[in-house]
Parts: sequence; structure tokens; C-alpha cells
Amino acid sequence: MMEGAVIHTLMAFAPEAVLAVVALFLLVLGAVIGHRSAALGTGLAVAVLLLGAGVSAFLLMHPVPEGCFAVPSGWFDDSYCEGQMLPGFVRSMLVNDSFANFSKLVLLLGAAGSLLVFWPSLKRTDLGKPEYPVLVLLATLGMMVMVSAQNLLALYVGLELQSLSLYILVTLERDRPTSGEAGMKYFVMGAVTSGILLYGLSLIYGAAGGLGFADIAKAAAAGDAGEGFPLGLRVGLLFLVAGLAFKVAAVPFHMWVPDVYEGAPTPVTAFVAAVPKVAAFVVLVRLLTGPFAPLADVWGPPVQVMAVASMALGALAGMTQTNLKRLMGYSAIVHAGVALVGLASLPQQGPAFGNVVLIYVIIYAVTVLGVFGILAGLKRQGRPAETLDDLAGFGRSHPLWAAAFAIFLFSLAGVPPLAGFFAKYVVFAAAVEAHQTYLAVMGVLASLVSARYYLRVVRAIYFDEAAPGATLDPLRSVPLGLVTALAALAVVAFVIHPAILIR
Amino acid sequence: MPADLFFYPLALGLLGAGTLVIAARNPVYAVLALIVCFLNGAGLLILMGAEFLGFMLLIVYVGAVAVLFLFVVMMLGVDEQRDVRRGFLKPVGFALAMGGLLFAQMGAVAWLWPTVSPGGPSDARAETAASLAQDGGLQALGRTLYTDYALPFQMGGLILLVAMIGAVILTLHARGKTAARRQDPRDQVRVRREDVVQLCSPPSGQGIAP
Repeated sequence: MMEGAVIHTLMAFAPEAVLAVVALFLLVLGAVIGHRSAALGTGLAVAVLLLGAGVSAFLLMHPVPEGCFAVPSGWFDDSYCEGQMLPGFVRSMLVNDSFANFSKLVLLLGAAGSLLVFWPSLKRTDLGKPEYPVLVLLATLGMMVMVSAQNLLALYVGLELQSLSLYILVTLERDRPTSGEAGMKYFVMGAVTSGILLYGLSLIYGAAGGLGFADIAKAAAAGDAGEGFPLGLRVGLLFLVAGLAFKVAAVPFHMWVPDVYEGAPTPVTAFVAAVPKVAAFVVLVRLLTGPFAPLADVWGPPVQVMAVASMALGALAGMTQTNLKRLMGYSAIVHAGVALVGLASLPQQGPAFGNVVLIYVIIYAVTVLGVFGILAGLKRQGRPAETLDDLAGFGRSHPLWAAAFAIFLFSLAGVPPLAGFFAKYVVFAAAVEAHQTYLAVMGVLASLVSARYYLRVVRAIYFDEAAPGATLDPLRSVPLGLVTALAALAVVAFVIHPAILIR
Repeated sequence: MPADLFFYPLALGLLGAGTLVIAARNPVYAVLALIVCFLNGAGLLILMGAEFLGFMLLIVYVGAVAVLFLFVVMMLGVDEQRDVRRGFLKPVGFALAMGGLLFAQMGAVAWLWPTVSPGGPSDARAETAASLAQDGGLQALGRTLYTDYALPFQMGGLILLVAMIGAVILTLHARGKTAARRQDPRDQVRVRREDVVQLCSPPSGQGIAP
């Protein structure tokens, strides 16, 4: 019986287990072959991530009965699940529903994209290390556990795994002092937030009598039925939301964002900016529409306050930035605020609206991956082009890249035919419907203000003249072009079928 | 009872060694007394049936923490003349308050431990207690870790692996002439006078041109 249980567990974790095993394998490969294995490892990691994305997509299209985990040999046999039920202890930790599968698909594709963005940096000795793909794989694994967690303990270990990997990735370019500074700030603030989160989890555990989401839902339902919510549940929930707000970069937990975005190596910034945000929002949606749905009065006001503060601070503080990576950091804060507006209208709009919030975050992630992808390859005389002045003349020297860059910026600003517009529109419309008009007004104002700084970048690209003899280096990289083209295509083509937002 | 036969020597040893920790004039002796303290405590835990905690106390505290203490004390250099116990009794009121609080908490747990109700969390606690009584602590712990908590347990292993990768990758790297400032003792030793000293005679009233 025990042996069977172990084998079932391994099958249940097929994509996750493969990810972990490949990460370990790449680590050994790096130790044996040395630095030359970085390219090989990165390629292998991209392949595995895409394979995992394929499995997730398949499971998304062919939903399996609850508690069952389809494995490849059973794909075409409906009765296969009878022998493939997840053992109880896995079912109490993880769930494999369509929400989880969709999130995993996005996470895996995002991680693969950010590894492709990393490709041109492989030649650099300080960054092109075999550990890079290993850490990206492990961070992705942590996020996959996060999005399918059904237990606070599983959620926490997933969060910790991805956080720790990200701290190291941010600090990887150690010879540059800003990289070390960014890593240190991220680590210290992240550790404190992790402590707050853990304290909240312990309070919830005390109040609900269990760590499983089912236990919490039971306690919350009992409180809703008239007993009143236990104090531990309320305070714990606030701490939990605070811990996740750090991950999504919402004010007042945003202090790390500009420094980390600027200090981290640009391919790492692409990863940090795009992928973990999706995971954190998935967890927020899952918690706030699931076990904590009855406590909407407790988490609603803080989420609204954070939304307003994020939009205001991000829009105003971004105005004076000249470093593009830093500017994107403030832009991230604004977008986190808008997504929080979406979360705030969850109680009125119903749990299905969580998908809309998720799609908003995904659109943002795709766009920002494209932006940092281009920045990762862009160099002026061998030095990374990061400031607005560096981008002068970009439109003339690299017309195609610049066009994609402008598309991303316009989408971030919310200019109509692009994906960013629809996403913002749906979120703000829902806020008005939920009688939170002030949030929508705030959001539109913040979008207008922040549009100014996106347009400043566009002006630098197309209308500023480069200093003579200081043109941008030619940018030729197939992986980078692939990611950029796909992201730009997604942003533009969203207009064909914007209804997936409302579905 | 044979358990008492072990309990009293261990308890007395614990108290005696504890007293020695704060009474010893030499910090090295204090740390050694602390180790004896841990040993006796581990014995008491094993006597209670909490083997896991007992062995952990041995491995982690005696094996690692106490040795670390000892190293630190020795590296700091103990001044034989200075009495480390000076000003020892100053925070006695605070210490008593904290100790009283601890006792109050222990008393509260002992007296107010929730009674078992079917289906509630206390029920699960009773189950755990029953399985503890049946299998002993180590087996029960192992069973729980490798079944109910197999996933977080394995993930914990991966987290430790990431910490290890981080420690290696961030400390072991080629030292070039880089922007981050650091000292290289070899370079410092090898430095020659001609490389760093420049003699010049500045004309009076003009200073040195940079």
C-alpha cells in the first residue's frame, strides 16, 4: 500500500517533479561541464518549461474529474482515472482544477519566455552561469505549487522557494554594486514580509484549527452563520494579504520595486516583473474568492486603500524618472493598483470576476516581458541602454524593435486598440458597477498621469536625435525576436477577440 | 519506579549545571556547563518519550550551537581578570517578570487544555497523542512527515538546496578588478613601493597638480 501511494504521488506531481529533477540534473551538468553548459542548460530548461506548458494546456482542454491526475498514458481513456486518484495527503495540499492549470500554463510560458530573453546574455561571464536556468526552474516550481495550493503550508513553502530563488537571481550580477544593493533590499524586505505572512498564517491556524483551505472555509462559514469571525482569522487574513501585497508590489509594500527593477540584471528583471506577479494574484484571487469570501468586509477596505495608494504613488513618482527600468518599476506599482481595483470589486461581481483580474495581470505580464526583453538586448557601445537618453534614435536605427517597444508602451498606457485598454476598461467598468466609482475615477486619473511618462519614452525613441557617434549597437537575436514578436502579436491581436475578458 | 531513578539525577544535574552557567567566572566554563545542561535536558526529554526532541537537542544544540558558542567565546579572547558577572543582578526584576510570565503560561496550558470534542481540532490532537502513545515519537513523526506532509517536507529540501546554490554562487566567483570594493590580501602583500608612492616637489604657492 505504501509503495503504491508513493508512485501515485510521483505521478500526481508529474510536471512539477520533472521540473525539479531537470533542475537537479542541470546543477550536476553545470558542476561537471562548467560554464560552457549554461547555453545547453538554458535550452533544456526552455524545452522542459514548454513541455510542461503543453501538459497544462492539455489538462485545461480535457478536464479530469476532481481529485484525479491524468498521466500521459491515460490521456485517451476516460476510465483511467479510477486507478489514478490522488492520494488523500496530496489532495489536502494541492488541487489540479482548471484555474490551477491555466495559471500553470501562463507561469510556464512566462518562465520560458524570460529564459529566451536571457539568451543574449549567455555570452557574458558574470551572468551566463549554469545556475541561472536552475534557479529559474526552481522559482517556477515554487510558483506552480503556490497556484495549486490548498493548504497554507503548501502555499508558504511554494512562496518561499520562489522568493529565495528570485533573491539570488537579482543579486547575480554581483560585480555591479546596484545589483548587490537590490538583492540585499529585496532579501531583507522579503524576509520581514515573510515573517509577517507566517505570523498571519499561525493566527489563522489558531483560529481555524487547521491549515487546509477547507478548514478555513469551515471556520469562515461558521463565523458568517452568526458566531462572528474569530479575531485570529481577521488579523491573520490582514497579515496574509499584506504578505501577498509585497509580492504584487502594492503600496505600502512597494519600496523594493524601483531598486530591484533597476539593480537586477535586465533578463532577471523581465522574470521578476512578469511571472511572480501572476502567481501572487492567482493566490490572492483563490483565497479571497474561496475560503475568505465571507470575510469581504475585513479584506475589502484594505485592498481598496492599497489600490488607491498604489495608483497615486506609482503615477506621481514615475514622472521624474529617467532610468527606464526604474520607470517600469513605478509603472508596475500603478498596474498592481489597477489589478487591486479588480480584486476590490470581487464581492459584488462574484468569483468568476477573478478570471478577469487574472487576465488583466497576464496582459500586463506579457507586455512587460516584451519591454524588458528588448531592454535586455539593447546596448549602446557595449553598455546596457537603460536611460531615456540612451534610447534616442532607437526608432531610426531599429525600426522593427522600436515599433514593438512603442506598441508595448501604448498598451501599458491603455491606448484603445491594444490589449491594455480592454483590460483596464473591464476592470474600471466593474468597479463602477460595484458602486466603487471613486476607484474607477482614481484609476482613470492615474492612467492619464502615467500615460505621460510612457509618451516621454516614445518621444525619446522617435523624435530625439542620438548624439553623433553614439548610436545603439545592432540588435540581432533570434530568441529575443521571437519573444518580442509573440508578445507584440498577443498585445495587438487581442482586439480580435476581447470577449475572453468578459466570458 | 526506574524512571524516577533517572529523573532525579538528570533534573538535579540540569539545575546544577544551569546554576553553574550563570555562576561561572570563566565564560568557557559557562559554555561547558551549558553543554552539560543540554545533555541533561535531552535525557529528560527522552525519559518523557519525546525521543525526537531529545536527539535534536543533542545534535543541534550540543553538536552545533554550543560548539559555536565555544568558538565565539574563545575567539573573542577571554580576559581572565575581568569578571563577566559584573552588573549581573541589575535586570533581576525584569528577569523575574519574564520568568513569572512563562510560569503563568505553562500553568494556563496545564489547567486550561481544551477538552476533547469529537470532530473538532482537539479530536485530531487526541488522535496524534494516541498514535504517539502507540508508536513512540520518532515513528509517529516520521509517519506524519512522510505521508500527510510529504509535499511541504520535500519542498523544504528544495528550499535548502536553493539556499546552498545561493551561498555558492554569490561567494565563489572570479575576483576581477571590479566595481564592488573588496580586499585581496594577496594584492596587498605583493604591492611594491614604486606602484603606490609618488614623490614630487610641489612649487610653493601652487600645490600639486592632480
